[in-house]
Amino acid sequence: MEKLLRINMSAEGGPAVSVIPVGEYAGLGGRALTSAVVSKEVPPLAHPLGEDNKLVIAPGMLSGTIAAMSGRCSVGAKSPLTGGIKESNSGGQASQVLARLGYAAIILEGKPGENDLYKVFVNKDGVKVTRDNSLKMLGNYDLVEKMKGEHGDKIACVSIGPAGEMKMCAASVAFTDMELRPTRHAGRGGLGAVMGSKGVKVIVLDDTGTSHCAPKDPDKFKAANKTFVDGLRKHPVTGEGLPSFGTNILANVINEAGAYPTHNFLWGRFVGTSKISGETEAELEKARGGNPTHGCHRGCVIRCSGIFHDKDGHYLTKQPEYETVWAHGANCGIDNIDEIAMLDRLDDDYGLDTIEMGATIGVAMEAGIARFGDGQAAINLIREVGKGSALGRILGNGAAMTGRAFGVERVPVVKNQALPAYDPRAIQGIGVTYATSTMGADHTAGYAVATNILKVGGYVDPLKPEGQIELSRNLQIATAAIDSTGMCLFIAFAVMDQPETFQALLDLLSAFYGVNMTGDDVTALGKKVLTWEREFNAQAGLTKAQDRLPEFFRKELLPPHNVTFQVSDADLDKVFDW
Amino acid sequence: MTESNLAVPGAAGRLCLTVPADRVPCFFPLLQKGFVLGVPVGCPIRVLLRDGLGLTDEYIETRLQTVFLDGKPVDDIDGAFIRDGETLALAPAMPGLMGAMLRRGGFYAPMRSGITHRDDDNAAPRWIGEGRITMKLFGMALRELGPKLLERGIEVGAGDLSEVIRELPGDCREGLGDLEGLEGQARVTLRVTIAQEGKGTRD
Repeated sequence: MEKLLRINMSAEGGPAVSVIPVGEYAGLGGRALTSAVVSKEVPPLAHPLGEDNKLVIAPGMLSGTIAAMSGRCSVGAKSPLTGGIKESNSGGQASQVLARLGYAAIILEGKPGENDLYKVFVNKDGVKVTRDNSLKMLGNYDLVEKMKGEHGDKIACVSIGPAGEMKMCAASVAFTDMELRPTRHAGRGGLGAVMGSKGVKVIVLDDTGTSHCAPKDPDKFKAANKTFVDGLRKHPVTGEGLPSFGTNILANVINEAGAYPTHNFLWGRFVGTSKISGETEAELEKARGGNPTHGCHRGCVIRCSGIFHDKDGHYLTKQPEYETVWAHGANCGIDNIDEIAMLDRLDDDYGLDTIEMGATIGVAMEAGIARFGDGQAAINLIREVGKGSALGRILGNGAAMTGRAFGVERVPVVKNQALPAYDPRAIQGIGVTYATSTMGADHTAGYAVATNILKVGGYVDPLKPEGQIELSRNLQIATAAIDSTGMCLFIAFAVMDQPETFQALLDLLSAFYGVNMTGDDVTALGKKVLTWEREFNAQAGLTKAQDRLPEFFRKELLPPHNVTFQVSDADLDKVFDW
Repeated sequence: MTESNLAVPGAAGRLCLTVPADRVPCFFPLLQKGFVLGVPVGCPIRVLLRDGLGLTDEYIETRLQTVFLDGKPVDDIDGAFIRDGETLALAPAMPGLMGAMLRRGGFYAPMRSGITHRDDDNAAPRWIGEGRITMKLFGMALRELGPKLLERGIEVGAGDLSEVIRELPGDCREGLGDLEGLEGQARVTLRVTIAQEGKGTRD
């Protein structure tokens, strides 16, 4: 990964391609690279859909190698949803393929003068950018089928659906999985709209004739990978729970904890949870000939993605994830897993963030646009988004926009981005991360990644809010670093619990780059990334006033525990004091 | 299986089914939603799990990493007492930050301190003896403990049971006979035994 692919969409005579050495960004990957480029090259006050914004697509530091779980791909830009810096990452095949082609990142710059759409094709022989307006308003599924017809099935696609073309703030960037289906998404923050503003409908990657990225110390790398894989396989979460039930295994326990937001964050429990849980989903998938145990990219050993078939036994969508099932399920009062799966399919096809759309429909239901629990009405609302009707344009721009359009007070967003599937009143610690993350409300911003092993967590008094602040800070630091490696965050449990697995991760990085990486280096990387992001956001006009949860989380009691969010503003402002 | 094991005090109807092994998971939604069980109460959760359910200490320690008592995450299963009428939920270690937070005694437990079960929530059991609790099983605990408890007999809502039976695949529902009688009952004691082969039957 020694080169950058820059495509200037504003160039006279059509898009101009330049392949240049990675230069000052050498050694960075994933979130570290996207946030470095955006913070250094994008004017913070630039319009997110304007020519000065840049869309950066970067494989992780270990992508393209034989390292297990190294297939996350980061997408970064200034977000049209939050107005700040954004990194959203996805599984799928593209990260490995892009890395094997030797690119540390693809950077889309400028903006085409005409309303044309382009296809970018990249293989070992070079890059070709083609104007192709026949792709206009194609859903991601039809688009990928068309690409298969043109380029064969040994490709990986990065694409946008109609939502991205319409530059909606909930638009995602889609990544194809191992079966060449557009099921994996960099969903958060409206990055699909930025890709749409660049006029790029799809990037087709073909790594035929390339080989794995070679580590500096192959023997050490191979040994570390074996230890890493062994650690993942022997841990009950990564070796058993996730492969058996997928991420939606969380639904029942979050519901039991009274932290499962229901009916637009009105309650903390949903009566229909057992009908839409991961356990129920997995049994249904097996009965219909689907598969609850499936990797989203080659080299995945956890295999938590899964395949969902309809009642007739035909493929409908990938196994809807925990966040998706919650957003379109409990949050909207819908307990029909088939309706939720259809919503997932439509989101993927139109290219929409499932969390944002579920929260948006919840707000629309609170506004009286549809009745809570009416799955068919929810499907119709998503179809409005796909059609680009006036109502669909409002919904497709997210929960905050929908709340404003319909005069709803209870809108669950931070920095305009919808809250994920954990109510911060029940789990105060995650509320701190929602409020203060550089990304807007984001459940992955502060993940359980080995802060205890890194010894940056320290002793935390459970009765004092300072404890929440310190844990959130250190989780955000650790997560920023892991997001840079290209590793799937679901390695977290094994890495956290098993020191030898965490050491194996460090050894993988050390052996690949020929350095001696320590826990302190990981912490330093995470802090550096967060500092870039915080500085960009400050210059973009985001202040402490945006590091807050919506007012109703402090005022409304959440049943069944009848709790409110208690962490003070003064404490929230200490999160980034280091 | 003896009649006394099967009976759940207070349940009205009774239904004994025999189904093929691969259809037992069809009943799992009932175990997730919650079922009533007659067990020793007034004792620490560990004692209930060991003496009431027959689980080994090793299983309890290694497999039951996430425990809720009346919806509150429990850190100390030796200090938390179960009382008549309470709800106990059991699950293995769960993924993600939330899974780490909810895990008993975990490093991230302080992040959910506002809802954590505290020993003084129920430190003084009012009564020690047989009682009725609602139990829920999640994740691998559902697969590992569910079939045994179904075989032992559980009390569930008749409406919930009817819904599950209606959703059973045709080949399994066939042979169970007329189940309309369930409609008149509020609660039903259900026992599910595993058939060696063939279709489901109603005993």
